[in-house]
Amino acid sequence: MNDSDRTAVSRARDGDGEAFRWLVERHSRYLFGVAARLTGSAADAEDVVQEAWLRAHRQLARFEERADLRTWLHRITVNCAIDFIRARRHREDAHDPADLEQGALGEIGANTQPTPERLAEGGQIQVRVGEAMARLTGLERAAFTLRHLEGRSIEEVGAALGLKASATKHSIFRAVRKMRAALEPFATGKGAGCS
Amino acid sequence: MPHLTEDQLVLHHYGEDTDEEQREAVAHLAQCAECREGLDRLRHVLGMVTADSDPQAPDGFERVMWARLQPHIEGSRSREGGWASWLGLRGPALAGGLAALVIAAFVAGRWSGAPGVGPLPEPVATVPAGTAGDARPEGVLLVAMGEHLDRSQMVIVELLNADDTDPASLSAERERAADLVAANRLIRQSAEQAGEAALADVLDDLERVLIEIANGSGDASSEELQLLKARIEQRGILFRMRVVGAEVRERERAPRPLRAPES
Repeated sequence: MNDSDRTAVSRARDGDGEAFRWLVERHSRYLFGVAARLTGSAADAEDVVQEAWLRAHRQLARFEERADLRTWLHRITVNCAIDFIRARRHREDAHDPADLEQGALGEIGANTQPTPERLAEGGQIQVRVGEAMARLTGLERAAFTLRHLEGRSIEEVGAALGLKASATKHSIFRAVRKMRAALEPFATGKGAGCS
Repeated sequence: MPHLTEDQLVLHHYGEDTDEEQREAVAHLAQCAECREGLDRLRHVLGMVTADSDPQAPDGFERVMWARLQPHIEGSRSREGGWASWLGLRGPALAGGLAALVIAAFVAGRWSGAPGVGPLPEPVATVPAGTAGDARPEGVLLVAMGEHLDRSQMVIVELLNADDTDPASLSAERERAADLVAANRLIRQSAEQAGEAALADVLDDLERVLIEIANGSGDASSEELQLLKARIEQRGILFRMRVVGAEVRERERAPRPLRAPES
């Protein structure tokens, strides 16, 4: 943890609202990214970040100063997002967005066929990734993100999301298939899959 | 050995295959150029998915977030450590009276198994504070409150996870919701009278939800069930209940009163 964070945490523990405000303004954008990639919604991400800060505020006295503050906040945010996702799981299970072959992403891919170099130059790969992630169902996105970006094992992902191992695997498999379908043309220019 | 499937490649990429599967995959990949190429393509695509592609917060998000947090943060300081303090610190008599009422509500409402939403109980203010309640330990109150929140949460989660095409399967949840309404109303009214607006607000929303669930009929349509689910989610009631529930659990674990108010 850097000195600024350490000082602010110390002051915030003593009830200094301005110090806590400083922490909120310093780290909220990062936490929004964490929450948004798990929830897939800016509005939901805002709620998750708010809840994460409230939890952090309550638990500030227990924060170990030798630990990294952002890592601690990251973990709290992921846990809040998981709570949120579990609560709305039923809706996401019932709602599967349109196939990747349809809609804006498919049209862009089919019509323009940009090379990987062109995409990278414009930072468009990140845009493509974001679009592909947005087309996953909530459960697929959460399972894939926890496995792929958060580095949690399938067993841990299942426990977090309240899924059996087989359901967790299939959520990840479906997510990977969708991501491949969306991104492979821009990654290699080759067809997908091993027969 | 046949080619590795895409799912097998995914598990292998993440190191989630079993030892035996891993040995077989490694052996196959050593002799199969096609599968090696498939694994390379998979890794290349997954390598594109990094935290760099996280959605960006809108401009001014930090200030908006602080504006949303500030009332809660400052409120928690000005209320002697939050609503939990109201349960046990602001007035032992109130806490005791509430404990008695909560327990009584549970006994009369839930544990009797009486179906349906019963008559409205009187608010706490009409009960002589500090009578029966003083003899009750604060821990009992917290356990009762925690149980109430847990049970309410379970009912709501069951409803949210219910099959939209089978509303009739929710009869047990309706009965449980009806049983919980009276206890919830007592706690809410007590919170209102104690000036705990945030807690009362959550309990008010919870009460509406419980009543909606309790009043649902067995022949409700799928669409009605979906609308009810949507209303529950729009209110974010589960999320807010978890916040309150976390406070209760923390308070249960802490044997002594919450820390002194910050000045």
